[in-house]
Amino acid sequence: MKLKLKIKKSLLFIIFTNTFCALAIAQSWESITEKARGQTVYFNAWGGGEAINDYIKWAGEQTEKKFGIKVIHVKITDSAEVVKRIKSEYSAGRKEQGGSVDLIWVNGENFRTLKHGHLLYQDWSEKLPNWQLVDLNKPVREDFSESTDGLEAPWGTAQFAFIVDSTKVKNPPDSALALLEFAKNNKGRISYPQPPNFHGTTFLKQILAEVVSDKNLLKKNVKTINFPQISKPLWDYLDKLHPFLWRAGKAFPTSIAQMHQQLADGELLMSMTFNPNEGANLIINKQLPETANSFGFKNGTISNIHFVAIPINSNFKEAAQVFANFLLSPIAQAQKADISLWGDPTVLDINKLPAEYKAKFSKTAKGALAYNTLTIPEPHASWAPALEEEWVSRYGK
Amino acid sequence: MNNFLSTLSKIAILLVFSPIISGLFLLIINGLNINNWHNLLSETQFLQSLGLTLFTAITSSFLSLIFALTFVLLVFPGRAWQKLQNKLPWLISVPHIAFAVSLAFLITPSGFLARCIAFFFNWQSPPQWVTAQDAYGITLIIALSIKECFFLLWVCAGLLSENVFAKQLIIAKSFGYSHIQSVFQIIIPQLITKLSLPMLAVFAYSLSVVDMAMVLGPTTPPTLAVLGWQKFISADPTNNRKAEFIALLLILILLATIVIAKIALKKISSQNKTPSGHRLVGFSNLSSKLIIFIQNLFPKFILYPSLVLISLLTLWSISQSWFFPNVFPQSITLQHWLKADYMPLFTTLIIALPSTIIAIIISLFWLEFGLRKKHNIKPNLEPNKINISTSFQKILKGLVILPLLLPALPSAASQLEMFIKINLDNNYWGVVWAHLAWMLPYTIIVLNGAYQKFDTRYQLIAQSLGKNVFISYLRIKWQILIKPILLAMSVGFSVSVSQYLPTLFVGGGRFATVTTEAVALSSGGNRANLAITSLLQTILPLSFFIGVLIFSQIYQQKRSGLK
Repeated sequence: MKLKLKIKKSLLFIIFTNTFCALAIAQSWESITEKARGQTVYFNAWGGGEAINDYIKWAGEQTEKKFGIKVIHVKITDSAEVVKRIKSEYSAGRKEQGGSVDLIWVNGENFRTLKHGHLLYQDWSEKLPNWQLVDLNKPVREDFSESTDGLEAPWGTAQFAFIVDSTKVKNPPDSALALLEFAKNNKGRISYPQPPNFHGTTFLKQILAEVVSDKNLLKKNVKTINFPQISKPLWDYLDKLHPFLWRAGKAFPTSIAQMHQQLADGELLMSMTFNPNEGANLIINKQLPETANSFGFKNGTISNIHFVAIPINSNFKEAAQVFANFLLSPIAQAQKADISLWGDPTVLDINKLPAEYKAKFSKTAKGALAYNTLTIPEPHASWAPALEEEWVSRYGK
Repeated sequence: MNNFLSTLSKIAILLVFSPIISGLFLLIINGLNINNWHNLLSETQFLQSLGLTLFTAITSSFLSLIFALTFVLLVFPGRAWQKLQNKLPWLISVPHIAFAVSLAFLITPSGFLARCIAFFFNWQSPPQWVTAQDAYGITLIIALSIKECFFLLWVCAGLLSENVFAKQLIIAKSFGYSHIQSVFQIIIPQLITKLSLPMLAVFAYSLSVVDMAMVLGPTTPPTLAVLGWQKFISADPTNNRKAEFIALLLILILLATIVIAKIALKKISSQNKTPSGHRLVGFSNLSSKLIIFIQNLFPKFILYPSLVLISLLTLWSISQSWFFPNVFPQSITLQHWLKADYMPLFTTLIIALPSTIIAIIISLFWLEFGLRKKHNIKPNLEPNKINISTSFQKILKGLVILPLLLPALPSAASQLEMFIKINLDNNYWGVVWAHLAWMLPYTIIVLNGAYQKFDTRYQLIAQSLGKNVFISYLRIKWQILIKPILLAMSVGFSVSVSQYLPTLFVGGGRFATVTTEAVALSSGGNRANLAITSLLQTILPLSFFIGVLIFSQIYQQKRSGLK
């Protein structure tokens, strides 16, 4: 009976669309949503941000209402843990089924590991209906110089920014050199999270992008270039900077959350973030004073896209796709971009959206990074581990 | 029948501990490869980290022992000791991570202490103090030694509850020895030999603690346990290998410590075999008024700081816009509590309650049937056979305390390996099973003392009056032992609540308990939420302890013969 109904439905569809191609996509998407009903998605995503946790909770409730899919947020501290878990489950013989992860929030080095380990479900992200709305001018098909190949769907964009209290810092530094001067004049009040903390590593990339002799080298795999020589300006810079840092560079904050707190208390003069709107969000949530403000360097700041991917051994690939598609929908992206909620910028092309949504995305708020701050692309994914290793061997002891 | 129960209890013990053993076995086999050791030695942070780890673990263990013995010296016996004993459960039940978080709230440059000073000296920005994350791990040592001192005091309380000690003191005093000398020469030597196992557990804990070291310990480099943890969660297999070696190294350090400690103890005890018996005049001059003063002061001295820490957590949890140099929050709100996610509280309960019940059943069966010596009526014709079964029993006995002595990281990792193979990962019963391995050592140790002292004639009388064996357990033995049983349960419960690695690994991250939440939040999130989670984490074991206390008091009132 159900089958007959389905056939009827698709017959009707043929009449309306009249093109075989559209039918194929629509039909398979329909069958995916059909199959997804009643499934549970275990979404493994960083759980250290209150605003983000609340957003994922909201998105899960919406998906349950609309598609009958339950979403459970598995709060993790580091995506590398999940990569490792997928690996060990896979090697224990769970090749196509039986994995504990259905969707993972990922980019950069972890994506590269998963991709090259053939641990990801293939050829799905660009078939999502909402892929049509994605802004293809943004680097959504490239993840830290690694092509995405339909293995992951974009979720949001990130841009590195510094945060200061504008009453205490009237003229924030606008370049790596200016930052060094600033640190000299404010001894013990500047720091950055300790690499391999994600934000700490991004800070290293930010400085590197400015002091490196040839920016094009950053696009290459570090194994193919002379890493010690090319990265030398960065270490020279840090050698100069560290004596003026918090605790004279002998200890570092463990996370940006700690730095935000230290900024609010005046223990530090500057914090940093990978979300251009986080400063605004923290003001609204009363975690930073009203006078906090974000800024970037005049030559731009590191920017990237963050994605969601489905492990190859997920039990519920259909539900994971439907949820990923929902995360890409205008309503979900608008909610995500809302500064009072999360403030994560969209990956959608605003011009492709209905007018009612356009206004929601162009809002700006006090404390956020200026909209026209230039962007610098992420170096190749292999840079992060190389920089981290070198940093640890130089300053980690 | 007894044989059947004995086998059953042995199987239960094997089931609980075999995942750890199999993993350990693999670890040792890998450890035979010299190349891997070379890899670890070439790790830049390794040597310094090793030094730091030895320093923090040894210093904090010794300090906690000295603190605990000083308390005993000054306060035992008397009303003050009783008071202290009643307050101990409060102190132990504060989980390590909550304790670390509240300590950080207190002493960091923008913490409460600095704010109080800032108020008087009109500081506008926080001082550039070096507190948490200091390079020598001093903050970590202080935190560990205080926290472990509570544990040792609690063990001492159990040991000293025997009347013998109080009587020995009376005799010594009647011979004219001062209080301090009597305690020093009579009680403490007896305590120290009995404390060797708990001390080993303390040392093993200090050596391998991850969560507390992440909040308070140094980072350039971190302690070996944290370094191992970082290498373990890395997606790079070479790093994972290094993590295994760090784990193995931690075990080796522990083994070396056991050997050294044994030799040292032997030496000391052989030197003190014939004490001279001189009355130390200096000590007897110490006025008894002073001792009484100290005795009254000490329980407060240990309790109030803990109350301050808890109040600080509470204050943070309702604060809003509480920036330096404000001594108190600008505004107070219940919003954080209303918005808080209470699901982890239930998840924790759902895991901890059944685990506690299973743990206590296995412990009782093990102590009752598994450990029982065979009474051979028949002449022993096959001595070899008997030896095998007793040596098997010995192995199991060693197995039971193993998780206390092994670093948590390799144990939890080997559990996961095993559970993946039998498809019990990401599974509720898998998590319960994993927890049991850490709970059983505590429940068994807590029960063991009381159990060995039990006068079996009570049971014999019951049986000779016509009651069957099971009734004699249910109505006589386990009821007489109800206090230690309840205590063992509450300890087991708090151990289950505080499990981080097994819950995370075996649960595949799907079981968010108050402890996993607290650690996740400590990597981000705001102070208010961290404070709430830490409080929730404290409330659970605390209410269990209080519940047990109330229950056993009511129970005792009805049975005045029970002590």
